[in-house]
Amino acid sequence: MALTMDMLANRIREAMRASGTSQRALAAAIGLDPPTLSKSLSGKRGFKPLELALISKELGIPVQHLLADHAEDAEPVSVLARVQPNSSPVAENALARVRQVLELNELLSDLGFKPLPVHKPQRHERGQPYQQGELLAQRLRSQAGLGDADLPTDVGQLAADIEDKFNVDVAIEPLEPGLDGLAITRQGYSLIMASSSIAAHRQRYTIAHELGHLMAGDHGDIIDENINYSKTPEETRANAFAAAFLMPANALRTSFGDRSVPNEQLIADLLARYRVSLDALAFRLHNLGIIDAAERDTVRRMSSARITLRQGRANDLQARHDRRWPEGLLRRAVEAYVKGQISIRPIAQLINVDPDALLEELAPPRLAPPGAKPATQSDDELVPML
Amino acid sequence: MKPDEDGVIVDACTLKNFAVVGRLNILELRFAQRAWWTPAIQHEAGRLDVPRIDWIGTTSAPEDIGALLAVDALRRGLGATQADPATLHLGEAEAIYFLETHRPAWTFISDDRPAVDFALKRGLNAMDTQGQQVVEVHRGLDRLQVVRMRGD
Repeated sequence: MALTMDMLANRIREAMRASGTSQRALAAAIGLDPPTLSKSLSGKRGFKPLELALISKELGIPVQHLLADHAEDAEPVSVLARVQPNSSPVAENALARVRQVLELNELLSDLGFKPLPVHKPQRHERGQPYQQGELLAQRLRSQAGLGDADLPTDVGQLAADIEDKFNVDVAIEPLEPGLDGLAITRQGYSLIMASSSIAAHRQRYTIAHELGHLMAGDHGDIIDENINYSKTPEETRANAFAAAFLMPANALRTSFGDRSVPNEQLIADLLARYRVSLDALAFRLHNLGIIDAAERDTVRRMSSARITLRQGRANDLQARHDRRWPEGLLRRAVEAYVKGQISIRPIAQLINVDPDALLEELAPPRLAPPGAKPATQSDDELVPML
Repeated sequence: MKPDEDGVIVDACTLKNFAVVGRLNILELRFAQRAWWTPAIQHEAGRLDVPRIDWIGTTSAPEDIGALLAVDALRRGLGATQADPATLHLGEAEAIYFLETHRPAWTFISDDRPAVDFALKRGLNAMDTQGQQVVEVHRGLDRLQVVRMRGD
Protein backbone atom coordinates (compact mmCIF):
# COMPACT_ATOMS: atom_id res chain seq x y z
CA MET A 1 0.00 0.00 0.00
CA ALA A 2 1.40 3.36 -1.04
CA LEU A 3 2.34 5.76 1.72
CA THR A 4 -0.16 8.53 2.47
CA MET A 5 0.15 11.68 4.55
CA ASP A 6 -2.21 10.15 7.13
CA MET A 7 0.01 7.07 7.42
CA LEU A 8 3.06 9.29 7.88
CA ALA A 9 1.31 11.38 10.54
CA ASN A 10 0.24 8.19 12.34
CA ARG A 11 3.79 6.87 12.36
CA ILE A 12 5.07 10.12 13.82
CA ARG A 13 2.37 10.10 16.50
CA GLU A 14 3.26 6.48 17.35
CA ALA A 15 6.95 7.40 17.58
CA MET A 16 6.05 10.33 19.83
CA ARG A 17 4.10 8.02 22.13
CA ALA A 18 6.92 5.46 22.15
CA SER A 19 9.51 8.08 23.08
CA GLY A 20 7.25 9.98 25.48
CA THR A 21 7.62 13.19 23.49
CA SER A 22 4.83 15.75 23.76
CA GLN A 23 3.57 17.72 20.78
CA ARG A 24 4.75 20.95 22.34
CA ALA A 25 8.25 19.55 23.00
CA LEU A 26 8.53 18.20 19.47
CA ALA A 27 7.38 21.51 17.99
CA ALA A 28 10.01 23.36 19.99
CA ALA A 29 12.74 20.89 19.01
CA ILE A 30 12.10 21.25 15.28
CA GLY A 31 11.42 24.98 15.29
CA LEU A 32 7.71 24.86 14.42
CA ASP A 33 4.95 26.58 16.31
CA PRO A 34 2.62 24.05 18.00
CA PRO A 35 -0.48 24.88 15.91
CA THR A 36 1.47 24.25 12.68
CA LEU A 37 2.73 20.89 13.96
CA SER A 38 -0.79 20.07 15.10
CA LYS A 39 -2.09 20.74 11.58
CA SER A 40 0.55 18.43 10.12
CA LEU A 41 -0.16 15.68 12.63
CA SER A 42 -3.87 15.87 11.86
CA GLY A 43 -3.25 15.65 8.10
CA LYS A 44 -4.30 19.23 7.31
CA ARG A 45 -0.78 20.19 6.34
CA GLY A 46 2.15 18.13 5.04
CA PHE A 47 5.71 17.89 6.33
CA LYS A 48 8.67 19.55 4.67
CA PRO A 49 11.86 17.49 4.16
CA LEU A 50 13.78 19.42 6.82
CA GLU A 51 10.91 19.08 9.31
CA LEU A 52 10.79 15.35 8.72
CA ALA A 53 14.57 15.07 9.19
CA LEU A 54 14.42 17.00 12.46
CA ILE A 55 11.48 14.90 13.66
CA SER A 56 13.44 11.77 12.79
CA LYS A 57 16.42 13.04 14.75
CA GLU A 58 14.34 14.08 17.74
CA LEU A 59 12.34 10.84 17.93
CA GLY A 60 15.26 8.57 17.07
CA ILE A 61 13.58 6.92 14.11
CA PRO A 62 15.20 6.86 10.65
CA VAL A 63 13.48 8.86 7.91
CA GLN A 64 13.44 5.69 5.79
CA HIS A 65 11.32 3.99 8.44
CA LEU A 66 8.88 6.87 8.49
CA LEU A 67 8.64 6.80 4.71
CA ALA A 68 8.85 3.02 4.23
CA ASP A 69 6.21 0.97 2.59
CA HIS A 70 4.71 -1.33 5.25
CA ALA A 71 4.94 -4.52 3.23
CA GLU A 72 8.66 -4.13 2.60
CA ASP A 73 9.34 -3.06 6.13
CA ALA A 74 7.72 -6.19 7.51
CA GLU A 75 10.03 -8.53 5.61
CA PRO A 76 12.65 -9.85 8.04
CA VAL A 77 16.34 -9.62 7.33
CA SER A 78 17.72 -13.11 7.11
CA VAL A 79 21.34 -13.46 8.20
CA LEU A 80 23.12 -16.73 8.69
CA ALA A 81 26.62 -16.63 10.10
CA ARG A 82 29.37 -19.23 10.16
CA VAL A 83 31.60 -18.95 13.20
CA GLN A 84 34.52 -20.94 14.47
CA PRO A 85 34.03 -23.59 17.16
CA ASN A 86 33.97 -22.20 20.70
CA SER A 87 33.85 -18.69 19.37
CA SER A 88 31.26 -15.99 19.86
CA PRO A 89 32.55 -13.09 17.84
CA VAL A 90 31.07 -9.69 18.35
CA ALA A 91 29.84 -9.27 14.80
CA GLU A 92 28.83 -5.62 15.02
CA ASN A 93 31.12 -4.50 12.22
CA ALA A 94 29.98 -7.32 9.96
CA LEU A 95 26.33 -6.57 10.66
CA ALA A 96 26.87 -2.85 10.05
CA ARG A 97 28.42 -3.77 6.72
CA VAL A 98 25.46 -6.04 5.98
CA ARG A 99 23.04 -3.20 6.71
CA GLN A 100 25.03 -0.91 4.40
CA VAL A 101 24.89 -3.44 1.57
CA LEU A 102 21.16 -4.07 2.12
CA GLU A 103 20.41 -0.35 2.13
CA LEU A 104 22.17 0.07 -1.19
CA ASN A 105 20.26 -2.88 -2.60
CA GLU A 106 17.00 -1.34 -1.39
CA LEU A 107 17.85 2.05 -2.87
CA LEU A 108 18.80 0.54 -6.23
CA SER A 109 15.63 -1.57 -6.24
CA ASP A 110 13.55 1.50 -5.42
CA LEU A 111 15.17 3.25 -8.39
CA GLY A 112 14.36 0.37 -10.71
CA PHE A 113 17.74 -1.41 -10.68
CA LYS A 114 16.48 -4.67 -9.23
CA PRO A 115 18.59 -7.75 -8.53
CA LEU A 116 18.34 -10.67 -10.93
CA PRO A 117 16.29 -13.55 -9.52
CA VAL A 118 18.32 -16.20 -7.71
CA HIS A 119 18.51 -19.50 -9.57
CA LYS A 120 17.44 -22.08 -7.01
CA PRO A 121 16.87 -25.77 -7.61
CA GLN A 122 13.87 -27.43 -6.05
CA ARG A 123 14.73 -28.66 -2.57
CA HIS A 124 14.34 -32.32 -1.79
CA GLU A 125 12.37 -32.45 1.45
CA ARG A 126 12.71 -36.14 2.15
CA GLY A 127 15.67 -38.05 3.54
CA GLN A 128 18.22 -37.16 6.15
CA PRO A 129 19.68 -33.64 6.10
CA TYR A 130 23.02 -34.89 4.73
CA GLN A 131 21.16 -36.64 1.90
CA GLN A 132 19.20 -33.47 1.19
CA GLY A 133 22.45 -31.48 1.01
CA GLU A 134 24.06 -34.00 -1.35
CA LEU A 135 21.02 -34.02 -3.63
CA LEU A 136 20.69 -30.23 -3.57
CA ALA A 137 24.32 -29.84 -4.66
CA GLN A 138 23.85 -32.38 -7.45
CA ARG A 139 20.74 -30.59 -8.67
CA LEU A 140 22.40 -27.20 -8.54
CA ARG A 141 25.43 -28.46 -10.46
CA SER A 142 23.18 -30.09 -13.00
CA GLN A 143 21.00 -26.99 -13.36
CA ALA A 144 24.11 -24.86 -13.98
CA GLY A 145 25.51 -27.36 -16.49
CA LEU A 146 28.45 -28.13 -14.25
CA GLY A 147 27.89 -31.86 -13.95
CA ASP A 148 30.90 -33.32 -12.14
CA ALA A 149 33.35 -30.75 -13.52
CA ASP A 150 36.00 -29.23 -11.29
CA LEU A 151 35.27 -25.76 -9.98
CA PRO A 152 37.80 -22.94 -10.48
CA THR A 153 40.80 -23.31 -8.20
CA ASP A 154 41.01 -19.56 -7.66
CA VAL A 155 38.63 -18.48 -4.89
CA GLY A 156 37.87 -15.18 -6.61
CA GLN A 157 36.96 -17.00 -9.81
CA LEU A 158 34.79 -19.43 -7.85
CA ALA A 159 32.97 -16.44 -6.37
CA ALA A 160 32.52 -14.90 -9.83
CA ASP A 161 31.14 -18.19 -11.19
CA ILE A 162 28.61 -18.42 -8.36
CA GLU A 163 27.49 -14.88 -9.09
CA ASP A 164 27.15 -15.53 -12.81
CA LYS A 165 25.43 -18.90 -12.59
CA PHE A 166 23.14 -18.41 -9.61
CA ASN A 167 22.75 -14.62 -9.20
CA VAL A 168 24.05 -14.79 -5.65
CA ASP A 169 26.56 -12.06 -4.85
CA VAL A 170 29.79 -13.06 -3.14
CA ALA A 171 31.91 -10.64 -1.14
CA ILE A 172 35.24 -11.45 0.50
CA GLU A 173 36.02 -8.88 3.15
CA PRO A 174 37.66 -8.59 6.56
CA LEU A 175 35.28 -9.91 9.21
CA GLU A 176 35.69 -10.17 12.94
CA PRO A 177 38.06 -12.95 14.11
CA GLY A 178 36.10 -16.15 14.57
CA LEU A 179 33.48 -15.19 12.00
CA ASP A 180 34.16 -17.11 8.78
CA GLY A 181 31.21 -15.90 6.79
CA LEU A 182 27.54 -15.13 6.58
CA ALA A 183 24.64 -15.21 4.18
CA ILE A 184 21.84 -12.72 3.71
CA THR A 185 18.55 -12.76 1.86
CA ARG A 186 16.46 -9.62 1.56
CA GLN A 187 13.95 -8.41 -1.01
CA GLY A 188 15.07 -10.89 -3.63
CA TYR A 189 18.74 -10.11 -3.09
CA SER A 190 21.11 -12.80 -1.80
CA LEU A 191 24.64 -12.22 -0.60
CA ILE A 192 27.41 -14.43 0.73
CA MET A 193 30.14 -12.70 2.67
CA ALA A 194 33.31 -14.65 3.49
CA SER A 195 36.17 -13.52 5.68
CA SER A 196 39.28 -12.46 3.76
CA SER A 197 41.50 -13.22 6.74
CA ILE A 198 40.98 -16.97 6.77
CA ALA A 199 42.80 -19.52 4.62
CA ALA A 200 41.67 -19.78 1.00
CA HIS A 201 40.44 -23.35 1.41
CA ARG A 202 38.28 -22.22 4.31
CA GLN A 203 36.98 -19.31 2.26
CA ARG A 204 35.92 -21.79 -0.43
CA TYR A 205 34.23 -24.06 2.05
CA THR A 206 32.50 -21.14 3.74
CA ILE A 207 31.22 -19.82 0.41
CA ALA A 208 29.90 -23.25 -0.53
CA HIS A 209 28.38 -23.74 2.92
CA GLU A 210 26.55 -20.40 2.79
CA LEU A 211 25.42 -21.17 -0.76
CA GLY A 212 23.91 -24.35 0.65
CA HIS A 213 21.91 -22.33 3.17
CA LEU A 214 20.65 -19.94 0.51
CA MET A 215 19.75 -22.71 -1.91
CA ALA A 216 17.92 -24.63 0.80
CA GLY A 217 15.95 -21.51 1.72
CA ASP A 218 17.21 -21.50 5.31
CA HIS A 219 16.43 -18.32 7.14
CA GLY A 220 16.42 -16.78 10.57
CA ASP A 221 17.51 -13.60 12.22
CA ILE A 222 21.01 -14.67 13.12
CA ILE A 223 22.10 -18.26 13.42
CA ASP A 224 25.48 -18.86 14.97
CA GLU A 225 27.03 -21.95 13.58
CA ASN A 226 29.66 -24.24 14.82
CA ILE A 227 30.73 -25.67 11.52
CA ASN A 228 32.38 -28.86 12.71
CA TYR A 229 30.25 -29.74 15.67
CA SER A 230 26.85 -28.26 15.00
CA LYS A 231 24.14 -30.87 14.72
CA THR A 232 21.18 -28.82 13.61
CA PRO A 233 19.58 -30.20 10.43
CA GLU A 234 20.24 -26.92 8.61
CA GLU A 235 23.94 -27.05 9.43
CA THR A 236 24.30 -30.69 8.57
CA ARG A 237 22.57 -30.07 5.25
CA ALA A 238 24.70 -27.01 4.47
CA ASN A 239 27.89 -28.91 5.26
CA ALA A 240 26.85 -31.87 3.13
CA PHE A 241 25.97 -29.44 0.35
CA ALA A 242 29.38 -27.75 0.57
CA ALA A 243 31.25 -31.05 0.41
CA ALA A 244 29.19 -32.31 -2.53
CA PHE A 245 29.32 -28.98 -4.36
CA LEU A 246 33.10 -28.68 -4.07
CA MET A 247 33.92 -32.40 -4.44
CA PRO A 248 31.35 -34.20 -6.63
CA ALA A 249 30.98 -37.86 -5.72
CA ASN A 250 31.40 -39.32 -9.20
CA ALA A 251 34.54 -37.34 -9.91
CA LEU A 252 36.10 -38.41 -6.62
CA ARG A 253 35.26 -42.06 -7.20
CA THR A 254 36.75 -41.88 -10.68
CA SER A 255 39.92 -40.28 -9.35
CA PHE A 256 40.31 -43.00 -6.79
CA GLY A 257 39.80 -45.75 -9.36
CA ASP A 258 40.52 -49.19 -8.01
CA ARG A 259 43.15 -48.10 -5.53
CA SER A 260 42.31 -49.65 -2.20
CA VAL A 261 44.66 -47.55 -0.07
CA PRO A 262 45.00 -43.76 -0.42
CA ASN A 263 48.60 -42.69 -0.99
CA GLU A 264 50.10 -39.29 -0.38
CA GLN A 265 50.55 -38.44 -4.04
CA LEU A 266 46.88 -39.07 -4.77
CA ILE A 267 45.76 -37.07 -1.74
CA ALA A 268 48.10 -34.21 -2.67
CA ASP A 269 46.68 -34.26 -6.20
CA LEU A 270 43.10 -34.19 -4.92
CA LEU A 271 43.88 -31.33 -2.54
CA ALA A 272 45.43 -29.38 -5.41
CA ARG A 273 42.40 -30.05 -7.54
CA TYR A 274 39.63 -29.31 -5.06
CA ARG A 275 41.47 -26.80 -2.80
CA VAL A 276 39.84 -28.04 0.37
CA SER A 277 41.37 -28.89 3.73
CA LEU A 278 42.83 -32.31 4.43
CA ASP A 279 40.03 -32.93 6.93
CA ALA A 280 37.30 -31.96 4.48
CA LEU A 281 38.72 -34.31 1.86
CA ALA A 282 39.22 -37.17 4.32
CA PHE A 283 35.66 -36.95 5.63
CA ARG A 284 34.24 -36.64 2.14
CA LEU A 285 36.06 -39.78 1.00
CA HIS A 286 34.86 -41.61 4.06
CA ASN A 287 31.26 -40.38 3.80
CA LEU A 288 31.17 -41.58 0.20
CA GLY A 289 32.42 -45.01 1.29
CA ILE A 290 35.59 -44.68 -0.78
CA ILE A 291 37.79 -45.18 2.29
CA ASP A 292 37.04 -46.63 5.72
CA ALA A 293 37.34 -44.87 9.07
CA ALA A 294 40.91 -46.04 9.67
CA GLU A 295 42.02 -44.81 6.25
CA ARG A 296 40.22 -41.53 6.86
CA ASP A 297 42.27 -41.02 10.01
CA THR A 298 45.43 -41.97 8.13
CA VAL A 299 44.65 -39.30 5.56
CA ARG A 300 43.95 -36.75 8.29
CA ARG A 301 47.41 -37.42 9.77
CA MET A 302 49.27 -36.96 6.48
CA SER A 303 51.77 -34.15 6.92
CA SER A 304 54.62 -34.78 4.51
CA ALA A 305 56.28 -32.08 2.47
CA ARG A 306 54.34 -33.36 -0.53
CA ILE A 307 51.08 -32.58 1.21
CA THR A 308 52.26 -29.28 2.64
CA LEU A 309 53.79 -28.04 -0.61
CA ARG A 310 51.12 -29.41 -2.92
CA GLN A 311 50.34 -27.66 -6.17
CA GLY A 312 48.26 -24.53 -5.64
CA ARG A 313 49.38 -23.98 -2.06
CA ALA A 314 51.28 -20.81 -2.97
CA ASN A 315 48.28 -19.43 -4.84
CA ASP A 316 46.07 -20.16 -1.87
CA LEU A 317 48.48 -18.34 0.43
CA GLN A 318 48.52 -15.39 -1.97
CA ALA A 319 44.74 -15.19 -1.73
CA ARG A 320 44.83 -14.44 2.00
CA HIS A 321 43.53 -10.91 2.63
CA ASP A 322 42.40 -10.45 -0.99
CA ARG A 323 39.15 -8.51 -0.98
CA ARG A 324 36.24 -8.85 -3.31
CA TRP A 325 33.14 -6.69 -3.58
CA PRO A 326 29.65 -8.07 -4.36
CA GLU A 327 29.77 -7.75 -8.11
CA GLY A 328 26.09 -7.88 -8.97
CA LEU A 329 25.38 -5.02 -6.58
CA LEU A 330 28.42 -3.13 -7.83
CA ARG A 331 27.31 -3.46 -11.45
CA ARG A 332 23.80 -2.24 -10.61
CA ALA A 333 25.26 0.69 -8.68
CA VAL A 334 27.57 1.69 -11.53
CA GLU A 335 24.67 1.49 -13.98
CA ALA A 336 22.58 3.69 -11.68
CA TYR A 337 25.48 6.13 -11.38
CA VAL A 338 26.00 6.36 -15.12
CA LYS A 339 22.29 7.05 -15.55
CA GLY A 340 22.36 9.81 -12.94
CA GLN A 341 20.22 7.93 -10.44
CA ILE A 342 22.81 7.85 -7.66
CA SER A 343 25.97 9.80 -6.95
CA ILE A 344 29.45 8.30 -6.78
CA ARG A 345 29.26 8.08 -2.97
CA PRO A 346 27.27 4.85 -2.56
CA ILE A 347 29.74 3.12 -4.88
CA ALA A 348 32.67 4.57 -2.97
CA GLN A 349 31.11 3.34 0.28
CA LEU A 350 30.58 -0.12 -1.18
CA ILE A 351 34.20 -0.52 -2.29
CA ASN A 352 35.63 1.47 0.60
CA VAL A 353 37.45 4.21 -1.30
CA ASP A 354 37.46 8.00 -1.17
CA PRO A 355 34.62 9.34 -3.38
CA ASP A 356 36.73 12.16 -4.82
CA ALA A 357 39.44 9.69 -5.84
CA LEU A 358 36.85 7.42 -7.43
CA LEU A 359 35.36 10.38 -9.25
CA GLU A 360 38.78 11.15 -10.73
CA GLU A 361 38.97 7.56 -11.90
CA LEU A 362 35.49 7.31 -13.42
CA ALA A 363 34.74 10.83 -14.63
CA PRO A 364 36.08 11.85 -18.06
CA PRO A 365 38.78 14.55 -18.03
CA ARG A 366 37.54 18.11 -18.35
CA LEU A 367 38.53 19.07 -21.88
CA ALA A 368 38.25 22.42 -23.60
CA PRO A 369 34.94 22.83 -25.44
CA PRO A 370 34.84 21.96 -29.16
CA GLY A 371 36.29 24.74 -31.30
CA ALA A 372 38.43 26.14 -28.51
CA LYS A 373 42.01 27.05 -29.36
CA PRO A 374 44.25 24.01 -28.77
CA ALA A 375 46.83 24.17 -26.04
CA THR A 376 50.43 24.74 -27.10
CA GLN A 377 52.19 22.18 -24.97
CA SER A 378 55.09 20.20 -26.28
CA ASP A 379 54.57 16.55 -27.12
CA ASP A 380 56.18 15.58 -23.83
CA GLU A 381 53.65 17.62 -21.89
CA LEU A 382 50.78 15.90 -23.67
CA VAL A 383 51.70 12.50 -22.24
CA PRO A 384 49.07 11.79 -19.59
CA MET A 385 50.15 11.21 -16.03
CA LEU A 386 49.62 7.57 -15.14
CA MET B 1 14.70 39.04 -5.09
CA LYS B 2 13.15 37.70 -8.27
CA PRO B 3 13.58 34.13 -9.46
CA ASP B 4 15.35 35.05 -12.69
CA GLU B 5 16.97 32.67 -15.14
CA ASP B 6 20.45 33.29 -13.73
CA GLY B 7 19.59 32.10 -10.26
CA VAL B 8 22.01 29.97 -8.29
CA ILE B 9 21.56 27.75 -5.26
CA VAL B 10 24.62 27.91 -3.04
CA ASP B 11 25.43 24.88 -0.91
CA ALA B 12 26.26 25.13 2.79
CA CYS B 13 29.79 23.74 2.40
CA THR B 14 30.65 26.49 -0.08
CA LEU B 15 29.29 29.16 2.26
CA LYS B 16 31.23 27.62 5.12
CA ASN B 17 34.52 27.53 3.19
CA PHE B 18 34.25 31.18 2.21
CA ALA B 19 33.02 32.22 5.65
CA VAL B 20 35.91 30.54 7.45
CA VAL B 21 38.36 33.00 5.89
CA GLY B 22 35.99 35.96 5.97
CA ARG B 23 35.52 35.93 2.20
CA LEU B 24 31.74 35.59 1.89
CA ASN B 25 31.90 38.95 0.12
CA ILE B 26 33.37 37.19 -2.93
CA LEU B 27 30.19 35.16 -3.24
CA GLU B 28 28.07 38.21 -2.54
CA LEU B 29 29.80 40.23 -5.27
CA ARG B 30 29.40 37.40 -7.73
CA PHE B 31 25.90 36.18 -6.89
CA ALA B 32 24.01 38.82 -4.90
CA GLN B 33 20.40 39.33 -6.02
CA ARG B 34 20.32 35.89 -7.60
CA ALA B 35 21.58 33.59 -4.84
CA TRP B 36 19.26 31.18 -3.05
CA TRP B 37 19.39 28.41 -0.52
CA THR B 38 16.89 25.75 0.44
CA PRO B 39 15.55 25.47 4.01
CA ALA B 40 17.85 22.50 4.65
CA ILE B 41 20.90 24.36 3.33
CA GLN B 42 19.97 27.35 5.47
CA HIS B 43 19.67 25.06 8.49
CA GLU B 44 23.02 23.42 7.73
CA ALA B 45 24.70 26.80 7.28
CA GLY B 46 23.43 27.80 10.72
CA ARG B 47 24.73 24.56 12.19
CA LEU B 48 28.14 25.27 10.59
CA ASP B 49 28.20 28.75 12.19
CA VAL B 50 28.10 30.57 8.87
CA PRO B 51 27.44 34.24 9.75
CA ARG B 52 24.02 35.72 9.06
CA ILE B 53 23.58 36.35 5.33
CA ASP B 54 20.93 38.75 4.06
CA TRP B 55 21.70 38.54 0.35
CA ILE B 56 20.38 34.99 -0.10
CA GLY B 57 16.73 34.11 -0.64
CA THR B 58 15.07 30.94 0.63
CA THR B 59 13.42 28.63 -1.87
CA SER B 60 10.09 26.99 -1.20
CA ALA B 61 10.04 23.46 0.19
CA PRO B 62 7.56 20.79 -0.89
CA GLU B 63 5.19 19.16 1.58
CA ASP B 64 3.57 16.35 -0.38
CA ILE B 65 4.39 12.67 0.00
CA GLY B 66 5.72 12.29 -3.52
CA ALA B 67 8.21 15.08 -2.96
CA LEU B 68 9.27 13.71 0.43
CA LEU B 69 9.98 10.33 -1.16
CA ALA B 70 11.81 11.92 -4.09
CA VAL B 71 14.00 14.07 -1.83
CA ASP B 72 14.72 11.05 0.37
CA ALA B 73 15.73 8.97 -2.67
CA LEU B 74 18.06 11.78 -3.79
CA ARG B 75 19.53 12.01 -0.29
CA ARG B 76 20.18 8.26 -0.24
CA GLY B 77 21.59 8.50 -3.75
CA LEU B 78 23.97 11.15 -2.45
CA GLY B 79 25.26 8.60 0.04
CA ALA B 80 23.19 9.07 3.21
CA THR B 81 22.41 5.87 5.08
CA GLN B 82 20.18 5.11 8.05
CA ALA B 83 23.23 5.25 10.28
CA ASP B 84 23.85 8.88 9.30
CA PRO B 85 22.21 11.98 10.78
CA ALA B 86 18.87 12.63 9.05
CA THR B 87 20.08 15.99 7.76
CA LEU B 88 23.20 14.61 6.04
CA HIS B 89 23.08 15.50 2.30
CA LEU B 90 19.55 16.83 2.78
CA GLY B 91 20.51 20.30 1.54
CA GLU B 92 21.98 18.96 -1.70
CA ALA B 93 19.00 16.65 -2.20
CA GLU B 94 16.52 19.45 -1.62
CA ALA B 95 18.47 21.73 -3.99
CA ILE B 96 18.54 19.15 -6.78
CA TYR B 97 14.83 18.43 -6.30
CA PHE B 98 13.98 22.14 -6.40
CA LEU B 99 16.07 22.75 -9.51
CA GLU B 100 14.58 19.76 -11.32
CA THR B 101 11.00 20.65 -10.48
CA HIS B 102 11.05 24.46 -10.44
CA ARG B 103 14.15 26.09 -11.94
CA PRO B 104 16.02 23.74 -14.31
CA ALA B 105 17.91 26.69 -15.83
CA TRP B 106 19.45 27.72 -12.53
CA THR B 107 22.85 26.54 -11.31
CA PHE B 108 23.80 24.51 -8.26
CA ILE B 109 27.02 25.71 -6.64
CA SER B 110 28.82 23.43 -4.24
CA ASP B 111 32.24 22.36 -3.05
CA ASP B 112 30.91 18.82 -2.72
CA ARG B 113 32.30 17.27 -5.90
CA PRO B 114 30.19 14.09 -5.80
CA ALA B 115 27.04 16.23 -5.43
CA VAL B 116 28.08 18.49 -8.32
CA ASP B 117 28.86 15.47 -10.48
CA PHE B 118 25.48 13.95 -9.54
CA ALA B 119 23.63 17.14 -10.49
CA LEU B 120 25.49 17.34 -13.81
CA LYS B 121 24.65 13.71 -14.57
CA ARG B 122 20.99 14.56 -13.99
CA GLY B 123 21.20 17.26 -16.64
CA LEU B 124 21.37 20.23 -14.29
CA ASN B 125 23.77 23.14 -14.36
CA ALA B 126 26.23 22.72 -11.53
CA MET B 127 29.51 24.28 -10.59
CA ASP B 128 32.28 23.03 -8.34
CA THR B 129 33.53 26.25 -6.77
CA GLN B 130 36.53 24.53 -5.25
CA GLY B 131 36.08 27.15 -2.56
CA GLN B 132 39.16 26.08 -0.70
CA GLN B 133 41.34 26.88 -3.69
CA VAL B 134 39.62 30.19 -4.29
CA VAL B 135 40.17 31.10 -0.68
CA GLU B 136 43.82 30.08 -0.87
CA VAL B 137 44.27 32.31 -3.93
CA HIS B 138 42.72 35.22 -2.08
CA ARG B 139 44.92 34.59 0.94
CA GLY B 140 47.91 34.69 -1.41
CA LEU B 141 46.72 37.99 -2.90
CA ASP B 142 46.32 39.42 0.59
CA ARG B 143 49.86 38.45 1.48
CA LEU B 144 51.13 39.97 -1.78
CA GLN B 145 49.32 43.20 -1.01
CA VAL B 146 50.90 43.37 2.44
CA VAL B 147 54.34 42.80 0.98
CA ARG B 148 53.80 45.56 -1.59
CA MET B 149 52.55 47.99 1.06
CA ARG B 150 55.63 47.31 3.15
CA GLY B 151 57.79 47.87 0.04
CA ASP B 152 59.71 44.59 0.57
